[in-house]
Amino acid sequence: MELLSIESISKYFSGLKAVENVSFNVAKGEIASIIGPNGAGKTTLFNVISGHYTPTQGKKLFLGKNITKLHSYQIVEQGITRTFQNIRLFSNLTVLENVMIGLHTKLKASILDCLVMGKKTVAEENACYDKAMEFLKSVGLDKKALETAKNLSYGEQRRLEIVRALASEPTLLLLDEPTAGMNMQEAMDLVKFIKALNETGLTILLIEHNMRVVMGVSNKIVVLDHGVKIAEGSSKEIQNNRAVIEAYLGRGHKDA
Amino acid sequence: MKELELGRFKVNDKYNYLIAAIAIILFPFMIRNNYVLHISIVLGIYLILGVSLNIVTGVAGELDLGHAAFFGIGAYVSSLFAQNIFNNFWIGLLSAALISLVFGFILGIPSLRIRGDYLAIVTLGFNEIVRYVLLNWQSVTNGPMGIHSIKTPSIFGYSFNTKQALFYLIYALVLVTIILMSRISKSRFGRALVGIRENEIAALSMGINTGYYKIWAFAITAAFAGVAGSLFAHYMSFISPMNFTSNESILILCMVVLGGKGSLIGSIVGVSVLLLLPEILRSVSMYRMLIYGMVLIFMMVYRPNGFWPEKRIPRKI
Repeated sequence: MELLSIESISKYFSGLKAVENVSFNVAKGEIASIIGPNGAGKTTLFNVISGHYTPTQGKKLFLGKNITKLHSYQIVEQGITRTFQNIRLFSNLTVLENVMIGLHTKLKASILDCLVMGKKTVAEENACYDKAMEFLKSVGLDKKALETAKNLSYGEQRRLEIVRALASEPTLLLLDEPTAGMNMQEAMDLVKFIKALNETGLTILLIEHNMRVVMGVSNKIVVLDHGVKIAEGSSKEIQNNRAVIEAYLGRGHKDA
Repeated sequence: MKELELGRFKVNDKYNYLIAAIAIILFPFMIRNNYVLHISIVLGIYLILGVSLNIVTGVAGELDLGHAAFFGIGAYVSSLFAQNIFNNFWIGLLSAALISLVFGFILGIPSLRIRGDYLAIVTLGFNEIVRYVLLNWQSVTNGPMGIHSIKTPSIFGYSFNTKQALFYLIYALVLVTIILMSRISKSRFGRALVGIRENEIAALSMGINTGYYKIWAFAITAAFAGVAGSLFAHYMSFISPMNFTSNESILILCMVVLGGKGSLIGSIVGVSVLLLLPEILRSVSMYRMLIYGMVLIFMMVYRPNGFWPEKRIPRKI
């Protein structure tokens, strides 16, 4: 079953064709990766999928529903959340509050409810606190719940960003270079984490540069170069694809 | 989970409000001096102005230099409704709040597209427009001559015509305002605003409709300034456009920033210090402004985060 359908998506910035006519699907329950040299348009494509950019052309369907015109905050309600390449945590807030904000779409209190603070709202707030702590526990950050987010180590911040994205209980999780800045050990730990998440039924789409991560985790790989899709397939197919090799290494090389 | 704030006393809301309520009730009995009561009442009005501005500027992080405009709108609306139209202070108060709320929405709209310094200029412009209208719409506002003989509030025939009675009325509203502002800050609404302040793109990625929350922040902030305006008008019994200049907006902003942007207690401290310091320094009237200026400079150099910086520690209710 196709969870996400990207159909002929193009994104131009006044003449610069950042993404040109890209189409692919992500099936429910799979882990798909988007790879490509720097400047290929991967993050732009992500920004289109998550609603931060409106596509110049094309459409996107999620569970069959046309989500092309939705704003980024509406896309979260549909069940898609994302993380960012350069971590976008609320650095000056506590670790716990970061996750509590992540729970925003799961709560129902209106502005009036917040002013009145009736029994229901109080119960919802306390439940929010507890749920946030549970999420932190699941990634081993509960002891640091009241720590300021910017004081966490880099690896911890990445984990926090992911668990904050998980708080909204998405159906599809977009991870933008989750292993950036990590050493091989940390990256492999993250691979284990991603696999475990996937086993709970979460569909994952990631942008990655670390080939061991990509090959180790993906059911499907989509390759972009200069804004265009040049290949799509399993890790084996991609490793042997001439166009992909040329994109990364340039012309004139016979071996991978 | 036990939360401890090192270096700060533990804040248990209900207890504090009870102590505050008791202090408020006892104060006019202990202090009979009319002058001190007068200053306290003016302090109360500015507390409402300060803690409400803190929502837009402190919690939401939107620079707002137009707060006095709503102070003025509230004052004039309340006076006019209470005098000419309905002859009832409470309707005046309610209208002041509602009409300021509507204008607050209007001011919130530019905040969707404009940020930082540019937004500050737009809000300042709004303040000036309001003042200009108050000054020139003579048929309604009586222009530079202002509105006088504004009636004292009354309820069911009882008239609040002593300073003590007005003190209770105003501080009852101050307490209500503080409770509501505290609730906003600690709720889902407050978290959305703080998220927008800290990282708007991340907030959008959390599903927060940033435009919706920004506009409501402006509207609610304005509504409370309107309430303060109404109280001001009925206490002073005379208002003119001179009371609602952009200087006034800047002063209230200073109070919030000096106190600690985003912190409710900070706003209370900031308002108190900047309002009471000139009064306390009256005895050294020659050096008053000098000392006042030095305090401001000292604060900005050594404690740029304010007297009582914001510290958001999530708690269970």
